[in-house]
Amino acid sequence: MSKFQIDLTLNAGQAIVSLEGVMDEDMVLEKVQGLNEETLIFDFDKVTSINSCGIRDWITFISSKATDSKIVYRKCPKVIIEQLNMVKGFLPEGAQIESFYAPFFCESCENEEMVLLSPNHIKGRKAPTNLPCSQCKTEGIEFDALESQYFHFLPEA
Amino acid sequence: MTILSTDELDLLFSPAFTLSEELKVQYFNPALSTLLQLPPRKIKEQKVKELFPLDERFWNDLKERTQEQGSAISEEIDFSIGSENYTFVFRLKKVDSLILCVSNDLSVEKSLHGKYREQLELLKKSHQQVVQADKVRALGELTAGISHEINNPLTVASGNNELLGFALETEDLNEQREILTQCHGNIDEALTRIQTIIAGMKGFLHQDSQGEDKKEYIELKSVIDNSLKLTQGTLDSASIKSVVNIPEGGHVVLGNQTRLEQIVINLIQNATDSMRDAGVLNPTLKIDLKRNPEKHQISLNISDNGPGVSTEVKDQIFENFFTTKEMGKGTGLGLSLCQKIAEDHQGSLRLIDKEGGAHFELCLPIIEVSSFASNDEIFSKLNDIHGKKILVVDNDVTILNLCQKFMESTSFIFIGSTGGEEALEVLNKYDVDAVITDLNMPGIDGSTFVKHLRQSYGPVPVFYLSDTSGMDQYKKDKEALNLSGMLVKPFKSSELVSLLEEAFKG
Repeated sequence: MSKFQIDLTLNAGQAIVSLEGVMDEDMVLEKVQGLNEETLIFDFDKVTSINSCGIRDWITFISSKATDSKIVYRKCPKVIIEQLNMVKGFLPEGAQIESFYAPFFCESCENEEMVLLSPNHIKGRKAPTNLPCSQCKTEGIEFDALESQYFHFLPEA
Repeated sequence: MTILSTDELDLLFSPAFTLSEELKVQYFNPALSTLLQLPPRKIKEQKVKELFPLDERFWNDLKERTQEQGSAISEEIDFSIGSENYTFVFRLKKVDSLILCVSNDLSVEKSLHGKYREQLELLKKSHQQVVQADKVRALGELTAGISHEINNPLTVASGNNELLGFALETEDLNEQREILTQCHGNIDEALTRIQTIIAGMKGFLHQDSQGEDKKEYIELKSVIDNSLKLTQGTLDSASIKSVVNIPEGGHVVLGNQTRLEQIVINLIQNATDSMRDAGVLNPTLKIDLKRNPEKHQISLNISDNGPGVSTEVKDQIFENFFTTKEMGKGTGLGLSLCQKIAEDHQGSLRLIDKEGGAHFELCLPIIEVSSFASNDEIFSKLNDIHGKKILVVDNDVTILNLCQKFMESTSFIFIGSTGGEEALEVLNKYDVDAVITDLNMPGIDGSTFVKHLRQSYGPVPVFYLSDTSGMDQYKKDKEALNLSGMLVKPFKSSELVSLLEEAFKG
């Protein structure tokens, strides 16, 4: 079974591309090479890991799409956020992050969870402080990474 | 130059961290958090052995070396985090009371290298299958001609067998002795001819256990002769006259006999098809060998007086799957494979511009250059007794192949030459560590060769190679030419090796 899969849904003027698995040197993007819809939404929810070869191939692919289509990244997991922050071109110019996961930790019950956020939740690269724990419902779970680094892809102000 | 600050270490793409005396993480950059997939609270003040799934001795050993020498580099180390496999190298440096650790992630490089080697092996196997398929195809195309070739001696054998039958019916067999002897001889010759043809076919199709990579010293004349044996029937049935011109002296190359025959047979078949399809009057196939001493090459030329290769296609003829034949009549792989075989022999195959007909030139390096090229990867290890280059000069290819075989299992690097003149030319350009030379050779003999060698090359150990009749010459030349010894034919592998080892001991 391939380590990487693509699921494609086409709506009027829009393509939703769900990516699953490992983005590495064996990743095949043939299924989406011909996409030219007005809006291309890439759902990274099920991406588990990415290496330098996957990053390189992704940048080559997405830069060819960014000229003709509006690019949206949806449900970016931590491994993708880390690349967004490190690698120029991973998020092409003009592309938009619709949503992403951020790590949180509850001091009360020591629950660790990934919370789905949108850029609107982040002001001045600071994580929200009033989120409730999904397990014990205590409010104020802590952001479990370095804010300045994790939210680097978002505007400072 | 000041030590980098933590702000600067934060910018590194590879993990970097500092360790206390107890090997607990004090500072770490974001890349470490990314690698370990752990939040900062689970990294700070943790023991490094808890973070990396490595034996405690690995870190203790590095720490000890860092404290003794100021810094230390680890060997490549493999570990897994979650479902991901990594290969890293760590470099530690003592900075005040802390140990700074930076790292190099070799995981992707190692993985790609492994995949590359796998794919290369698969490609080699596929290529071998294609080569074999092409041989089968070539032989299939020759079937009609080969049947014709076998039919002739069969007819001779059959006819003589009938005569034998008549002769055996007479009362006094002694009177028929001459006819009986003659018939027996003719039948024997005919059967030998059939055996030779079939052996040639089997040899051509045979896939060596080492694959098609096995190379040895071969006379190109035998390549031409064997190829013509297989194709003679086809040439005869198309009424094509073959003219072979091979100058005096040896034309020895380091190569694979079967693969080189594959080239020649392919070229002969193409010429035959071309001349037959064009209905050429007096179709003629010419094969010749030429030495090019300046380029250290031998060229084998095959030309015909057919319509030639048109200008529209001549740039494409060596491409895979290109063919001018009808569907089903050619795979289009013949010439591209032939070119690949030529390149595998450090040679080349090309079409020469010519009026009236096609002319293909197969260039192969003379054996001294071939020996160097094939040993190229060994040349980097020439610092001790192992890896000494031994030049063997003998016009007899069986001796060259024997010496090569004997040296295969040693650390000596074998380089062959078929004559003194060629050997001197190569010695002008390349270094060797010892020379073994036959005494009786066409052109300049072994003694004259060594005299020239001593004038221009210096005190390299030289040995004579001869049967016992060469002992007198050896005794005469020993002092004058500073000879190191003599190898007497026939000789064993152990004799050759101990002679060389003794020479390099001093």
